[in-house]
Amino acid sequence: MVILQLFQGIYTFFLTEPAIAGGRLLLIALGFLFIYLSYKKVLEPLIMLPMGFGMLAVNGGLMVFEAGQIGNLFVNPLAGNVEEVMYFLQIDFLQPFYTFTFSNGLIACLIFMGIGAITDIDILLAKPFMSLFLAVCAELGTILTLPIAMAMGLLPREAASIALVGGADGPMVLYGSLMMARDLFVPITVVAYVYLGVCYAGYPFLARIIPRRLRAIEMDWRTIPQVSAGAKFAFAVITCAFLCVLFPVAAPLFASFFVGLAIKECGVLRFVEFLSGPLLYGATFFLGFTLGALLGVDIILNPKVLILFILGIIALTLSGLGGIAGGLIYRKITKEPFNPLVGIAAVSCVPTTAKVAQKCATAVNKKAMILPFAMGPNVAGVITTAIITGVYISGFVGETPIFYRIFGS
Amino acid sequence: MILNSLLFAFIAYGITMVIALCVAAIIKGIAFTVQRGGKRAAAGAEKK
Repeated sequence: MVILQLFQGIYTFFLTEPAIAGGRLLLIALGFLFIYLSYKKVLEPLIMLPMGFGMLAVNGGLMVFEAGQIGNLFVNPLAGNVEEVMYFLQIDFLQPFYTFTFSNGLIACLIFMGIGAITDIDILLAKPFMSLFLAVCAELGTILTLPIAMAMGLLPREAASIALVGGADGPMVLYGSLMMARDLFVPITVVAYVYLGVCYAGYPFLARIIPRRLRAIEMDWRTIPQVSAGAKFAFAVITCAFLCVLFPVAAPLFASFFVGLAIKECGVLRFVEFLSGPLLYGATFFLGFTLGALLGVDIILNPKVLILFILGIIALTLSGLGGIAGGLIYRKITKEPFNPLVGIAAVSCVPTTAKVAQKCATAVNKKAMILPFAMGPNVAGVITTAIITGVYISGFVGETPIFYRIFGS
Repeated sequence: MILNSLLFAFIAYGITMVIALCVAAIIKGIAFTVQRGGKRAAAGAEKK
């Protein structure tokens, strides 16, 4: 046993309860699985590959500290007071990222700046009513999961956080859960990112609800009117101001997204390169790696985690169905030829769901080019999800949350 | 409590719809202004 103390990762398996040791093994195995599926491109490697590494390293790398406590050298999310935070900042190598970018939501905002700088809003501006109508329909999961989650025993703020998975926007879920359910933000964000990765494989099955002849409808992208850079710039500035005035609690998200968008349309190439390259991918990498490192055994032993996994899939399925329903309704009310698959792109996982819509259309008709149209509702989905995030945070956070003021406690 | 949350969810949905409509109106307003500006510029160029 003394010799074993040389290899503390193994030694700590014998020091802890069997349930904890088993949980560690499970998470290490899950880490390997994420890495493998990322390598095979089944899951999104940008986020899931560093997350898998973080998971297997943090659960394998447990050690005994001087006071006999078991811990790791990665990150300690439970550090509460200033003294503790200062101590762990000097010990744990990911603690600076957690303390300075996670606990205040900065990491989500950095990613949003990058997303803004790579987002094309031409079709949103050319067809705003179509884009926003479909985006609102595709928020069905974000809306209905709230009461479902409460019926399954979650607190209102926890239910609102997991409901945001229906918006299919990783940084938004991270920001929302940090604001509303800090103690559950790690499993909620992991659930969101795992399911967003699975969207690409799962949504084509959902799309089969739409009759084949409708999925094959061709749309003429040459009819999309040109939008000037000035109009796009004005949109970014005015909409940002409008939404920030309405929801100051979500203003960091709005400001980050629209500043990225404005910089792109302004043509400040150095900034665009910085936001869409080093900033976006650097933030994504550290988000994945730190999230993986936060996924310790105590997370999966929480009985709420299984409920979160169930609710995550419910939210995304309902949003997908809402998007499809929106597509079918819009086809009825518009005079132009319209492929209802565009509706599924309104689930705002940019640009994955737009690609899914195109993939499903190509599968039945090789000439059906719907991707340019799908990008409109795709981007509009980011805006509607941000609005709902603002409503939920305003409703559930604060000294006396608005939800309790309306309905009583 | 569950019924209340359902009601709150629908209120949130309604708010989202109204704000989305406002965003669409902002877009239309910008498009109208840009179009008018373009027409004026074209007319000015013709006069010259």
